[in-house]
Amino acid sequence: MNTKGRLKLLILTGCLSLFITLQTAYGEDAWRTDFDAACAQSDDAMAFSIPELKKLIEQCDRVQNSIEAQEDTVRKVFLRRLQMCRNLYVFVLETKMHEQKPK
Amino acid sequence: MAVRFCCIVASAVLTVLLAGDDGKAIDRGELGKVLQVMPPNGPLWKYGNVVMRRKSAKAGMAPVVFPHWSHRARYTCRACHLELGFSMRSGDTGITREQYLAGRYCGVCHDGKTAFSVRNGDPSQCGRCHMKDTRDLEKRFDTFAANLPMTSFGNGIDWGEAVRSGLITPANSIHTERFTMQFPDKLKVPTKLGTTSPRSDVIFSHEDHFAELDCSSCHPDIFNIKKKGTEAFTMERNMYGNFCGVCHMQVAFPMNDCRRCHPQMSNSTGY
Amino acid sequence: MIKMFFVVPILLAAAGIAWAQGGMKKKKPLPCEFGSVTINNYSRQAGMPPVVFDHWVHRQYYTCRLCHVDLGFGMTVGSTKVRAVDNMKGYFCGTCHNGKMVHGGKRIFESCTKEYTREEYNRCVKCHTLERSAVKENEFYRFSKKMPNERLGNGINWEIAEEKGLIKPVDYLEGVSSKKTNLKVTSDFAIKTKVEGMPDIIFSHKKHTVWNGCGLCHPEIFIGVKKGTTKYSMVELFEGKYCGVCHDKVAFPQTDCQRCHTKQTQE
Repeated sequence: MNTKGRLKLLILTGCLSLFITLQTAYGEDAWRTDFDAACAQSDDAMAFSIPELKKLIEQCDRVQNSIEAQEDTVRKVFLRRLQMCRNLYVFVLETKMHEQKPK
Repeated sequence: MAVRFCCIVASAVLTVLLAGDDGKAIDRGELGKVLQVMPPNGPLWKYGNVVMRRKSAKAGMAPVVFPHWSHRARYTCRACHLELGFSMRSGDTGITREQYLAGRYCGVCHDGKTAFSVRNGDPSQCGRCHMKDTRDLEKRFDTFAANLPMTSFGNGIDWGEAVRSGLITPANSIHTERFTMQFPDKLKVPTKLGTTSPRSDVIFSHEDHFAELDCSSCHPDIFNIKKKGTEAFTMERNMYGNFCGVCHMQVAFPMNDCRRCHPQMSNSTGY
Repeated sequence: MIKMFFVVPILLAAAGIAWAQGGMKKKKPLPCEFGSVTINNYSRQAGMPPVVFDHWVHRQYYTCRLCHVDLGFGMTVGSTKVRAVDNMKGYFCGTCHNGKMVHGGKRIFESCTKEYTREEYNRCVKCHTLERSAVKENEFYRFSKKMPNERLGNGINWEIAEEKGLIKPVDYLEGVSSKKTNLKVTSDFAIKTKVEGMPDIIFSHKKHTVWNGCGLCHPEIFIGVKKGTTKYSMVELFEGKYCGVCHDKVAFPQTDCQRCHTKQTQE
């Protein structure tokens, strides 16, 4: 391994250890990535099409199962967060379907 | 049996304690004091004065005597009670020396520019609010009231007429002319409030009140906004400082001026 | 028969309390007390005084959304049921109050611990206290002096404070918040009033979404799908529904009529 590679590794481990010390809670597991993927865009809900919204709701339901397997506090926090974003998608979906109907 | 009897007595006492005051804002003693100073029982200059003792006494100062009459000629109720945050219940505002020196509450106007300063000057002017005696205030009232339209009740000043005739032009706001909400058309027609006898029906003007106050000064605390939702709205409770009595017993025209609200009644009974 | 003696006075007493509500001005909270919330889910059981949470301390640094969405705090008092152990694990209050996080050059004090010394108890009572603190009040007045004035609530116009850059509420916590795209703000709209001549309400989505996002209000608080189909009455609002969930309690009071009823009917 050359010096450049070693330096890279050092920075990487440095960052990683910093990250671990900073972030003991709020998980960085697969379910967390899935959660972010499903809910990060909730503020854009109005911009999605009906099929896109349906897909997001499905995504939420899948994450729900993995969150339910977590410990108490994580469940409490993330089920609420998930609920809020899923409800919003459902709400926007219903609004959009409602708007389509009279036409 | 004796234990049971005790329980009954205890719950009866509790009932008297809880329900005895009948939800009145003030008790009999306080009402008595109000009636004692209310003209014609008391002098005109005294009506509407608020005496603030608690904090002054702690600081070893004479109590503050606050005359509503000198202030309401310059500002509407909303300027102080909404914009400056003075509560309508005495003792709720919690004014401290630190605060008025920092330009809050009284210190907003009493800064040495708009009105005399709350800071102690040379010669000492603490006594202008912390009054040891009120002779000066009495004298000031006489010159103040001399040119204002008269009435037989309250301060002896017909404030409504004074505003209408332009003798006083109270400002709605302290700083700049604040944006005040447009007055809804629907409320421009005076409301008739039925009473037990048609002769005593009340004509209530929202518009006259809006000139001095915001909707929120009365709603929903004093009068909730449900249709027919105001319960126990009796003359007695009014006199004990509830409903209209929140203002119309101690500052706004008092309730011995029957005809101001019940136009078909006579004022001849006196007090 | 003897039972009646107990029932009647209790009923009368209850009625007495109900009467006492009518026709009086409610106690007005001091500017420093407005938006303060007393939380007592588990504190008393644990032998601690309840927690008194001041919104004014926190909202100068963070948006509503950050705590009420990302940290999972509910919108009504006591609904979150935060336990000390949750804080110790680094959630809820413990997300920031962990003794490690630094804000504005100051370390944020740790929230709950399993064991504490006599000295550390002073830290507990920073939150677990019902007593009025002169220090905190003075801190409030020092802070509010720098802020734009408003007549009700905290006596602070938070909106203008942010516009002028006097406060810069943070909306994102690394590792806690989900990475967001830029919010697409939806347009303002007018809400017609029922009383003739009452100025219409101009509802600004923009003002609300900046601090709250979408999911905080929709659909939990405002469920109406089609515009104009849901009728809101001031009676319900004053009872704490809809706008009343925030306004009156933390956001500016609903009694500041002209802040919402802004559209003059005669132009």
